[in-house]
Amino acid sequence: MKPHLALAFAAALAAAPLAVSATLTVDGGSTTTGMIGDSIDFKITGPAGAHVIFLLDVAPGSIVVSGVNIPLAGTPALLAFDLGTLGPSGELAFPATVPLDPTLAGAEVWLAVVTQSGPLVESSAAAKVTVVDRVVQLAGNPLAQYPHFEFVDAFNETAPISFALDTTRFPFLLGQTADLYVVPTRTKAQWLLNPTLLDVSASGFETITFGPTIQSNVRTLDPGALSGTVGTEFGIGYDIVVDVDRNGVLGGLDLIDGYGDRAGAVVVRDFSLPGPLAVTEILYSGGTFLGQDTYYPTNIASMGKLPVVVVSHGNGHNYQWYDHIGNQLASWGYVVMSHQNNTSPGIETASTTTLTNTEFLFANQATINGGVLAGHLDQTRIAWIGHSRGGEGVVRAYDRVFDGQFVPVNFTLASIKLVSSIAPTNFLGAASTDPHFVNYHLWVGNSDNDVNGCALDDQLQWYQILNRARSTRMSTALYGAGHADFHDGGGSSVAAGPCLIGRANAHQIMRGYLVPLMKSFMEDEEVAREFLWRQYESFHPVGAPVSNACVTVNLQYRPFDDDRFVVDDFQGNTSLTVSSSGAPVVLNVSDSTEGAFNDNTTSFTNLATDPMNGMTQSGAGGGTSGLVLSFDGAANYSARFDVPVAGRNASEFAYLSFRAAQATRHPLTTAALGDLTFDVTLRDTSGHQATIRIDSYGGGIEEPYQRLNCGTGTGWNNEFETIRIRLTDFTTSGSLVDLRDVAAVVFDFGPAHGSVQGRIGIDDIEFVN
Amino acid sequence: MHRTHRIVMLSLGATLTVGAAVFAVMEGEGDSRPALPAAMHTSPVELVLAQPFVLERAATHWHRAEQPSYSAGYVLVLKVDPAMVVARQVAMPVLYVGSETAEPINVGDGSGHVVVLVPAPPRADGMPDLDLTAAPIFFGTPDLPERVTEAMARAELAKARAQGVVAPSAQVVAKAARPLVQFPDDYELRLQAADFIEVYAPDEVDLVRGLRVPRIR
Repeated sequence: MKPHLALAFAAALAAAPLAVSATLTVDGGSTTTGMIGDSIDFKITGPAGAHVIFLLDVAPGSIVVSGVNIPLAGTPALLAFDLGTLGPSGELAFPATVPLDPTLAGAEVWLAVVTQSGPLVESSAAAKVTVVDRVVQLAGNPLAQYPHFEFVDAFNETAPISFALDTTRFPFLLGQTADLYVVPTRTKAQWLLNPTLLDVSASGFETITFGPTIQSNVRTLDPGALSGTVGTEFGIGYDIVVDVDRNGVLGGLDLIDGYGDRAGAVVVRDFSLPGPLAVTEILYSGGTFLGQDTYYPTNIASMGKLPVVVVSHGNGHNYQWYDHIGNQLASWGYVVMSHQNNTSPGIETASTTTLTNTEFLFANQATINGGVLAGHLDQTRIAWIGHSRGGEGVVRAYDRVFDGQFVPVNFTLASIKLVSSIAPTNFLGAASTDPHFVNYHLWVGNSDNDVNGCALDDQLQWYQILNRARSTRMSTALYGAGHADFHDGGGSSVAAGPCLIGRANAHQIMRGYLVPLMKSFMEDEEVAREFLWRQYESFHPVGAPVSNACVTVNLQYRPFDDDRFVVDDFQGNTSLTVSSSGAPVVLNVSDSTEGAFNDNTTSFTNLATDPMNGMTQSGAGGGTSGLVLSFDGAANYSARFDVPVAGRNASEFAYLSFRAAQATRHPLTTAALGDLTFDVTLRDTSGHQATIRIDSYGGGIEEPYQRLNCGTGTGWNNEFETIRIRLTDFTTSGSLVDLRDVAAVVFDFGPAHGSVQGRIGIDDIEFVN
Repeated sequence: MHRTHRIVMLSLGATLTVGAAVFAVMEGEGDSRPALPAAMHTSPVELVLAQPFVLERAATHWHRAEQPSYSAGYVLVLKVDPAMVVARQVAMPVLYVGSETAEPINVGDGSGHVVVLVPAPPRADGMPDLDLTAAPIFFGTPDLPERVTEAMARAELAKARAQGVVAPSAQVVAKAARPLVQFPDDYELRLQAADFIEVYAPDEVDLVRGLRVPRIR
């Protein structure tokens, strides 16, 4: 293509007759987003044999050249390219790569074509290309099956960091040789200032010649030697660079994972171990039910304002029984205050002591222990953790502040960044114990022999509060953990069921997850959230007690409303043929029911009349709904959820997410009794599709905890797990799936698709970030 | 800080429902918890010690729906069936003295002794206006005490009396009685309770230590 001056083009069109329209499309439409280094498809139509001039400007507008109205502003930046003549079909289609020039990020470019065929001159309407910053995922872990590689950001120390590149997405690299660098992370500004590449991996930079498949382009960049330890930081960031021109400098067509404010790979240390700070613990009281056990970094005098974590114990428990939380978080730079909690009267009273103790801490920081805390408590970053009655009490406390029933003096509603309940009761119900829009986390011990999760009564069901939460919500469930395994007061675990893991293992898991949890919501450390949703089987804190075969951890994670498009959350209607987003649903399964996730009996006994057996997410008064379905092994089955037009541009999101659980005590569950798997297919409106099996990234859907009682049979509540599949994984290996035009999400079950048989609950099918 | 604790596990249990209150499912696997005895009101409660008190600054009785203020009452030490007081997160039997709810200060499942506060209005002579020889001490229907109204408490007393529960004898009361003590506030009162817990429920060392931590002025 040859650039020309616009004026020269104007002269060429002199004396031409009035125009009619030609057409120009970018990626099949009038607008598109072009990633730096990515390809954009252009298509031009006009009269056969017409001469084509391609115009580019930085703003739309209207310029008239020899009577032809061209929809561009005619700025000094206007460029014109002579594309020659259209063929007999009157069409010209070609791809073009957005230059790998970081300074183009954020630019909007307006395009038009003018065709001239004899006396006939036509101008197209304007098309727009928005250039976006490069977000090329390169770091991750190889997988045994399609999509062959998972692109992630968080890596444990000692774990290898691998690289992969799919040349079907970057065809210009096929056959090219390039160097792969692991570089200490830099911001965009730092990269622009210093583009020199310096590899810090154990084996130095790697050289690769790109093959045709992603599998052929997987390399181990570092065997696990990189450090993740730096003070109380979450980890150490590294950027991954493909030095295409092999000149040791970022530029040209080089690719980078981490260009921007986020690192391409963050190596993290073992969060189950204490952090780097020495901890001081003090006991004091402000009066009745104002006894406090506070942990803080010993050198707090040299530190700034620290986030504050408040711990509210359960009934019959003691505020001195949370050393594992206090010492752990204080060693990572938090102030943790565990207080006397007035749980004996009930939840309302417990919530009062959560509130009054939080107020007392802030109001008396100048007095406590000689004023050591003064000026170091961040009143804008508070987390409330509560156990059992205290676990409901902290939610009630938030609800009271939300409703204006309690007006805090020393903090605000917005100060509460996270509420975390450990095995909470559920006395007060949705009207009074509502997390509203606070980030909400839940710890569950499936062996709990106090608040045990049985269908017997809503008061016993941990998951109801979680399902009320409308902001980011997540749960961490531990098979084998009892009610008292979450404190360190000694004595019984208050546990029932097989394969009990005991207090030491439970605390080891808690410590490992507490730091990422707090980093996520108190310090906005987005990479830390990977601990909250990546399958435990493949990613967990280094020190998690994996050698204990009884340890099973199930995670749920659902982001805030603004970060998702709901394909079907099963709310609003109970039709089996229409989703909550109004699109068709086609079920080809052996048995299905949609409705409230509420076991409608008082036991977990499997009964044909109780299709929601084992569901404890909703109460008798309703609540969250979902779908249960069976596949009986006699054939292959499917469930197709069409995506409404409003949600078809899934490219705005990072993941396809849903949650699923096996149905307890059902014959189709007990027949196999193991991790359950099935296929998920993403299909676009052109019929292109790709399929990923859900255990590609780790385990499948865990079988229910094999606990007796609460009716006849073996198996406890239906334990949900969230499955998140990176949407771009569906484009791997040239699947041609167009994420901008997704037509359907299809679940396939049966012998050809994973587990031969099963009965599952499924919910919250959505595109999320 | 190392902790010691005291939950004593007793017998195997069974699912138990009393009225609307529901208790934890008991199991044969793992470390099962003692079942709640089926008989609530008639579960034996023995008066061991009765310490009358007055407060210079009134406190709140959180164990009633009305949450009344009080400035006098009794600290009682009671001998109970440990199974009745095992700490549970679900509704527990509410302890009554006459038609008033009692606030347990300790758990008591390890020792079988519970130290409780019972509010009562002060008489002209300074003593709490509560005749222990006329006030049956009993466990009532499981509930959250903050939901128990005055009317509900009276109904529970009537139910207990109907089941033959009687007040401690004058001899028992006389033996348990201590002289009136005055405290500046209920924080100091609870320090007194901590002393009783140390004697009658010596396994609850964490609780006692927690009650005795220095107060910031």
